[in-house]
Amino acid sequence: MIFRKLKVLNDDEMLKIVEGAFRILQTTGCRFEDPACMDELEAIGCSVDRDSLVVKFPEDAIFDALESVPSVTPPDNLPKARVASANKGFLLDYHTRKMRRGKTEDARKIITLCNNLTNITLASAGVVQDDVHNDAVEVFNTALLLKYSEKLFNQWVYNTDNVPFVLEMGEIVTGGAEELKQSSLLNYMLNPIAPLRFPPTQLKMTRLYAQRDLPLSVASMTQTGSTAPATMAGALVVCTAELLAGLAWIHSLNSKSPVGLGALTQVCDLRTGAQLYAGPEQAIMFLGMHQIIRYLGYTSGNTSFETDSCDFDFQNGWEKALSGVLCWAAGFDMFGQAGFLMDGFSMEQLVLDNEAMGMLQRVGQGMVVDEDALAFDTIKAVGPGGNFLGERHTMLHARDFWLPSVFPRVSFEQWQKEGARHIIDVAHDKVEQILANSALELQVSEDQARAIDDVVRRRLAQVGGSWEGVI
Amino acid sequence: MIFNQLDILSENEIERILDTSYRILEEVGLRFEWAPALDTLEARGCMVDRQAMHVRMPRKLVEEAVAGMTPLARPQDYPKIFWAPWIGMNLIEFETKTRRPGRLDDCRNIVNLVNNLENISVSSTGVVPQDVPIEIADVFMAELLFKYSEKIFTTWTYTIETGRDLVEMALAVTGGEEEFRNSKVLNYLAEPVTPLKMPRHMLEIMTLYAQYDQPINMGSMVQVGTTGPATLAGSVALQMAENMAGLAYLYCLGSKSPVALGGPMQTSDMRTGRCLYAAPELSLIHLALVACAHHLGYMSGCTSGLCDANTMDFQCGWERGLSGVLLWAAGSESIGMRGEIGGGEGFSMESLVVENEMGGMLRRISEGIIVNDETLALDIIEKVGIGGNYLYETHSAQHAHDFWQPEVFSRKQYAQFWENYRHIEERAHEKVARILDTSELSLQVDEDVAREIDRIVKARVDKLKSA
Repeated sequence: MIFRKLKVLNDDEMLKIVEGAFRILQTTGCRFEDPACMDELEAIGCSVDRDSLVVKFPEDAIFDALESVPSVTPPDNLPKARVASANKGFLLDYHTRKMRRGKTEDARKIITLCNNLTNITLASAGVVQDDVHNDAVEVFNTALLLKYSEKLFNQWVYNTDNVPFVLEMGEIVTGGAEELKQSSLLNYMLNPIAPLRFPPTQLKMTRLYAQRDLPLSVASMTQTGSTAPATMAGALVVCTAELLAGLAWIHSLNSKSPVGLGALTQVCDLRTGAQLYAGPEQAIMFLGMHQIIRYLGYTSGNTSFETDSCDFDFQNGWEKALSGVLCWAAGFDMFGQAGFLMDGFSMEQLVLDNEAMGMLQRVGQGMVVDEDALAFDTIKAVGPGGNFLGERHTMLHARDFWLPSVFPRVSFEQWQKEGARHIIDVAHDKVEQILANSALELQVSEDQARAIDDVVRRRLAQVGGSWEGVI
Repeated sequence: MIFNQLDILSENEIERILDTSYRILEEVGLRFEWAPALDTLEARGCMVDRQAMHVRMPRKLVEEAVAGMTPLARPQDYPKIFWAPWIGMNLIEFETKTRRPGRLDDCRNIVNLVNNLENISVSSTGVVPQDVPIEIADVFMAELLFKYSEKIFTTWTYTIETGRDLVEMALAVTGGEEEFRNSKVLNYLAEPVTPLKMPRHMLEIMTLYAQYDQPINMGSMVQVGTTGPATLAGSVALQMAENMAGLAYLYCLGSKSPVALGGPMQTSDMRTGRCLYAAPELSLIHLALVACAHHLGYMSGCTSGLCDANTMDFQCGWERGLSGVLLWAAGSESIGMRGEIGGGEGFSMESLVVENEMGGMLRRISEGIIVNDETLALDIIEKVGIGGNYLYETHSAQHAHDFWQPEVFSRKQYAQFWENYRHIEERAHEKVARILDTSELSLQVDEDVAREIDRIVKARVDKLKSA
């Protein structure tokens, strides 16, 4: 039995942050940049300024939302350490070590890899390819994933016009609107722009998903020192305020959508202005926000398991472990973003992240403590100075151990004798091996596949894009 | 305020493991390979077979020992995380990328490095020097540490003879027996030969250090599947039995030595027999070991944060992070041993520098989030308002230095990083070279004391020659 309760705030500290967020929502409020929101929010008791689109939230409006909006609940049968494949615009080319724009061929390869990497729980197309019309690429990749992914998947949708096409394809696969609602297949993440702004496109798209009662999440992306105070407690106040405002607005829509709350808090390197992915302060803030979100009664998500390294080096592994393992120890089950390497997606990184997550999953299975595992009789039979290698008990349990598929376990001399291969080369071998031995297979019926293709063709035609050359 | 709460066992499961440990001590017993230890244990009610040197320990006696001995406590002014270097036989040389036996000049360099690495809280010589007679290498290591280490240290003691030399050095450094007793400048990692053997040299050295109340860390080294059962719970029960046997022996001696119950447990790759330093199962058994030690009221130290990787790559970072962070999250007091690379293949000064960086990040996390009016910054949030920017605020300038900054880790953008690419090991080596170029070892003891330490070393060398 594993108990994961790592905390970074005591109750008093946590309440001070939540109370601070309530105060900010009352005194400063948020700007909801879609006039349609004004009526919705006014109806739940908010004070709205229709000129500036600024909304101030009384305590009751937030408490009502917290009481009424259900939390997303992940299925019970999922592993306790899950990782989602990332979505990036660029791809790291193994051969040149340079970032380049992704292609549809890359997306197909990444889906194949996700199908074959046991510890990648949520698939993705990995890249936003440039050989498909930019306005339709989200529809195109959703189609690829619906047709070929053996796993649930993660595909961002930024363009409001794409939403009806994406939802239509979801209904084709599940069988209808009600089935889609029950399936957890499609969901949408509302990202406020810190500090305290909700942009119109995001609000419109959230509304489309909410109208169908599909799962939603609100994920704040405050950046300490630039879009939030330079002190972590202050940044968490802004983050909590944005999450609560988003939740209250979703409540005002009278939707039955379940909601998850996410803290994608970031740190700004104040020497250079660069956004950091893996500073220790970021890990602490993830843990603090996790406590707050759990206290509010919601499922929590974050972007731990990332790195600021541009190489497949010690820093990369350590930084992913630092935030990932800390968040796991605090009770997080879901991590992102596998395959992520600074500005792009790397298939080799995806393989390494799969290996790393396999180790964490093994830890998550814990330790069996029963008569057989305690092995008193075997210890007695072996006695002082003996050896367990020849015991039947040892043979019976010899396969209980996690085995690596990429990480070498050889002596220093043997490793050198074998050419002291860099880990990226070993990972690339596995990429090649999977791609050589696995082909994408339809996960839907041929009729459904044709219907999905038809949706994609319609969207491409609408934006002036071509079907030819990408399939 | 950080609350380290990661438990992989319920109270009931911990008690079942410890119950098995007590049964092992009472029903299976151990071999104590030194006659005076048999006398001591028999006098306190143990069942002793002198011919086989076999001892069975009544549960009541072991429980009395657990209750009666003094648990080792972390010095109050000490960082929460013990971050100590490894001590291995070989050095991984940066220039040649080869593994070679450690030398005395490596030891000097490593002590110098540790003096200058702020997150390595305990010192060691890193390698065992093999350009001195190997039988008395521990005396040379102690000489360097007593004379030049700016931090408390850990080292090996090989034999009762060299142990006496170390005690003599400690007496010279502290100024007398009473001062030595109070100082805890020495400590001994007592490693039973698993399964269930307490070797003569270990018992002799434990007895010597116990006479001077020096800390004893019971650190058995059960290897799952070879010297312990292939099931994790069974191996932890065996490890705890061996550790508690040492504790009970010290209790029977009437020792006032503070004790810790830890140990470098290992797993083995059952396909090849290779000893593993970083398997996920190893994290589990160390977490269980910490839980069992804490349940008995004792501090525990484990060899977490290690790696099976032979170079400073993703595997190396992830493996160190997985076990190190898990153990930190579970409240382990010690996350050793630093500088090791390749599953114990050698010591790397470059790795030590990078691990110092890693220690800095973990220490930053240990500081947690400060929550007060200043840090909550509600007035600033209201002032900046919706869509504003905090970069220009005085509050941001005042707190701009609160953030941890790397020295070796990179925070460059991708193109910038690859434009002038240098592997992390090269960047770490630059820091090693810079420290060694600009820092010299300076005596940490009076010159008279240094001369006395030199005399002790010379006497031991002369004795070896005459023998």
